[in-house]
Amino acid sequence: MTRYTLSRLLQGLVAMWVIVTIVFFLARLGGDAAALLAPPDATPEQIAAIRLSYGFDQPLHLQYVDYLRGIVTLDFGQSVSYRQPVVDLVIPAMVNTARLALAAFVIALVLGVTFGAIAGVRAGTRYDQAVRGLSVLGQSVPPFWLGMLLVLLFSINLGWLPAFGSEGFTSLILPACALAAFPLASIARLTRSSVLEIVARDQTLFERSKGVGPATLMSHILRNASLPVVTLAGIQLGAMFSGTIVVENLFAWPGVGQLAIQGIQARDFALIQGIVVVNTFVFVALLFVVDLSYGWLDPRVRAVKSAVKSKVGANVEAAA
Amino acid sequence: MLEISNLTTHYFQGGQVATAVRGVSLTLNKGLATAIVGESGSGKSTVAMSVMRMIRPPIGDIAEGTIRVNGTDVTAASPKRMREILRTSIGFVPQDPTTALDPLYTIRSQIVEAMPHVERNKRTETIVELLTSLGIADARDRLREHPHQFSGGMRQRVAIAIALAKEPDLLIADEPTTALDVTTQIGILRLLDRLRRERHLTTMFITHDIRVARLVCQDVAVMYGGVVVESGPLSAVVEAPSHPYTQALLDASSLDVGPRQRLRAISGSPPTLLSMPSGCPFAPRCPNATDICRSEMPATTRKADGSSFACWNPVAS
Repeated sequence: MTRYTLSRLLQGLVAMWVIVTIVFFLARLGGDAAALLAPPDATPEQIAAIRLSYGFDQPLHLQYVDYLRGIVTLDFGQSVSYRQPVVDLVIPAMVNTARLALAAFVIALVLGVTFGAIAGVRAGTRYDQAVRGLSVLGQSVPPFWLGMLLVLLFSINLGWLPAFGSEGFTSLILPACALAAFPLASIARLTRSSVLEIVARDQTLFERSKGVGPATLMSHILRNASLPVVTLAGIQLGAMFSGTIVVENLFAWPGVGQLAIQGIQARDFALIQGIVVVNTFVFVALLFVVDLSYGWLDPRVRAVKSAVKSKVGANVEAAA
Repeated sequence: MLEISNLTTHYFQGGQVATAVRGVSLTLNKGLATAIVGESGSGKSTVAMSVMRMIRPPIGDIAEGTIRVNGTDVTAASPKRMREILRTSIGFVPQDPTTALDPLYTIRSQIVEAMPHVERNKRTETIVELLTSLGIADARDRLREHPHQFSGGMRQRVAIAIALAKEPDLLIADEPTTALDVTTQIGILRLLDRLRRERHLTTMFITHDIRVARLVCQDVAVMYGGVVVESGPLSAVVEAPSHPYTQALLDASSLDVGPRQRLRAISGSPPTLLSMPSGCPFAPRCPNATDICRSEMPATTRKADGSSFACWNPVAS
């Protein structure tokens, strides 16, 4: 298990490094980065000043080393538009986004798995048809439209919840619901089909032949059905961390999405780079957790690594 | 021990009703192994699944008949009562242990689920004893292992341990050697035979291979197209088969075919569940078939040797 964890961690770090490197070169492939950053009516002196302040006058490999050192020490430079270190902007925004994404994720996971599992066990019934219909709806409705409907109903007509802002728990409910609809629907659909497949397997028949109660039977079915759901849930959570732009702007939620929009509008190069790097880190970390939970859920995954090793070892010995 | 009378079981396939078992009556003698022999689609597995009440709507249902396990009619049992019967009286050995064992759970936890009656602190000892008696070496060290760490034959022993953990009266084995290597098949067959003798287990042994049945069973019921065409003591049925299908099955599996000789196959193919003929299901492939065979189901005839058959034009002995 330790070996499995370490190998996954190493893979995650390599992925981080590759992405961060791509980001670095993408920004510098488009010709004169300073000219791109500058407003269209900038004078050559202004462009030269930008070049100097970003270190674009330095040789590329030195820039790259500087850039990597900055990432490792959490120093993404100064934001031009805010006149603050990028870290001080991105981290609080990321915390806000995480609050929103995690709230939406909990809603999506708990309800999605529950609805999907019941639909899978009772396939073909009215309940199943309702879940399938609603999940197609949930996957098709755009979040901004759903968000506006929620605001209209719960804030304007009923006056139960605030329409925007980030004060207190109540202001979290509407954006979290708007954000949860899509992952909820896709988790419900996948859970349903996965449960359906496990129920039809020999192992469920054999389990039932033991005469176990419904709770034991269901725990076997759910654990087996959870393997693909865990992957999907991890990806959905990652997408929620980086893809909350629409919902954050709709509800004036001070998260990374809003910050990114402002950074793009202000051509705030360092800020955007900082956001991309932090988002990448969050995504890779989430996939690492997904991989770990896979090893925890499925003993065969834990075994693969050492089995391959010993097989290769045996072949080498046989050859020698 | 097990008395099946006039059992009819349906499957529901997309709005249509497919009759997999039609009016099967069968008695399993206590402490003996009864082979249920037939090809795919003959209804042999459906009989076993009906005994365990695994066929319920929306998949299918028992339409008619009674199944008495130790005197209790399982067709009338509530789901809760049925679980109790499965927990205490019926052990099931699956066809393919690789797909039947849960890959995510340890061997120990899968066996424990089948022995709720054993006290908590005695479970490990009981499991180790059971596994050792079934021929698994270092059973104690392997309790925390998962199914993928066992070989095919060992996996089937684990599955047998699960079937036996509840100390059942009836053991249902559904082609228990089909998915195994030929070399391990004989070991599992010997094991099942030994267990039957030692534990006085009434065994229902489902197989398509009448030669395998001859190794471990005392009684036989030959099924075709959802009906029992011939049944009785295995030796009597093999010595003097009366039903043309039994005869054909024995011919097809006979070993005295020399090299470069044609294998004796049964021509044609078995009926599908949705196109079951109204008369004898074997009539379209039967060399002895006459008009009455195609229109009317023959009654069951008892013979002096204890066997019985259902045929209008039995094989002349």
